[in-house]
Amino acid sequence: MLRLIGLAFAVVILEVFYNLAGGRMVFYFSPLLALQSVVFIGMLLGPMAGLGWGLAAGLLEDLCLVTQSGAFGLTPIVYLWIGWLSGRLMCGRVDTASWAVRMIATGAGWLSGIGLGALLSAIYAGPLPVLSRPYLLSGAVTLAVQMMLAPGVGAVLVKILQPRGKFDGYTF
Amino acid sequence: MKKDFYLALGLTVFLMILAGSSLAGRLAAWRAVAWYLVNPAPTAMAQAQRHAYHLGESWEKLFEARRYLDTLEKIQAGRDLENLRQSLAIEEDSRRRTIEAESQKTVAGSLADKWQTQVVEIVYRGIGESDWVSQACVSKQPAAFKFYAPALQFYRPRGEFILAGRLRPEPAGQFFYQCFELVTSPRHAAAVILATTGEAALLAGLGRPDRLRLSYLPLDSKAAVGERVMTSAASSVYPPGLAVGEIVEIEPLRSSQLFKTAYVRPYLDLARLERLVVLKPEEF
Repeated sequence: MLRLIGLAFAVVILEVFYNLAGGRMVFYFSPLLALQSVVFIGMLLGPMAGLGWGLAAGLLEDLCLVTQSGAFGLTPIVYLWIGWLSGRLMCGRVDTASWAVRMIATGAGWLSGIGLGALLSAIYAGPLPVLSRPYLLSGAVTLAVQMMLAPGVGAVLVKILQPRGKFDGYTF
Repeated sequence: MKKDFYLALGLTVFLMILAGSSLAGRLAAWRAVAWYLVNPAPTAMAQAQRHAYHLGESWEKLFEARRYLDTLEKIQAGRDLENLRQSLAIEEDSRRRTIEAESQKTVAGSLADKWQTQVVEIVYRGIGESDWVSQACVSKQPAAFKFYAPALQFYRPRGEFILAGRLRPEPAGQFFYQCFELVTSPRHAAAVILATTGEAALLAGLGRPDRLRLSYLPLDSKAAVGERVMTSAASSVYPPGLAVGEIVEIEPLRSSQLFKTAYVRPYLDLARLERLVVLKPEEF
């Protein structure tokens, strides 16, 4: 549980610092690290964990970061559904160690998240800027880069979230 | 399946109600204001202003005032830039006029009979004190100057041209500059005469900006402090009659010496050495 909370803080702080440091100025490249993480958490730990982590990370991100839609409370909806769907569809059903699965999961999660975000944004705050024409190319590049990095990101998350063995004392 | 699905559905409904409530608006506004305070960029400012109405009229007016001030600052910055551009243009114009005036003076002077002149800007003085005293370099000209071409400086206090130095042999690998050996350089020496007595001597640089050594003056020289030193007709490099400096000190004579030695303050003003008038012999 603590590791999940720490991970949520780490991912959101990383995104906030990336944006504060003017990272978006580089070709509008803005990696959706929290979205990618929620896909992996759902896939590895199940739908409830994905839902809970997505809700927490989304609320945290909405509190810290001025999202492109500008409305408050839409990011947790996107993340909780993506986490839940990821856990429901993939947890225990796919080989999570496979790099192809990790890449496809990232791609599918990314596109679903953007689609759902755009829909909610259209209802509450107007069209999502990321879908406007100048951002389409940078969005495609972001997706490609995140898919390429998916095996590595997955490996890191597996390493962080894997259950630790009980300490039995030193053996000599 | 059903339990977590209904939980997700319930949370979604709750969050959608929250997103539509005034609380969400206020939260979004506070978040945009905090973001603007941390990162006062124009985009953050626009976001904060867009959400400010959730916080009340005073906040809207505050951001309007901020935007107005930003606009004023931008206009002022534009004016400053324009003023800077204009002053640079005026300075460039004045520099061009100075060069033209110096060129005209050279043409009108006695040097014009035997020499062609060219005014060149100094672009490099070297690194360190010894280089600064010894050399002045100009960008390579389309028609390169010939070795030992004499160079002059316009001496404003007297309104005349004075000797600055000569072009030195080009070291290998020097692609961008042509450098002049200044009269203050320890590698520079020239045959000179005293203006009033006509006595010949050798003037050598000491690597100091304010002192040259005048050697080989006759023992019975009438040289005195304040005497003007000029280039001699015996010089194989310089035209005769160019002012170089004036005597500031005469070394006390010792019994073993065969010649007198004096020290000269050069007219060359190293601190204002920005241009050189280079003399080129008339082509036959």
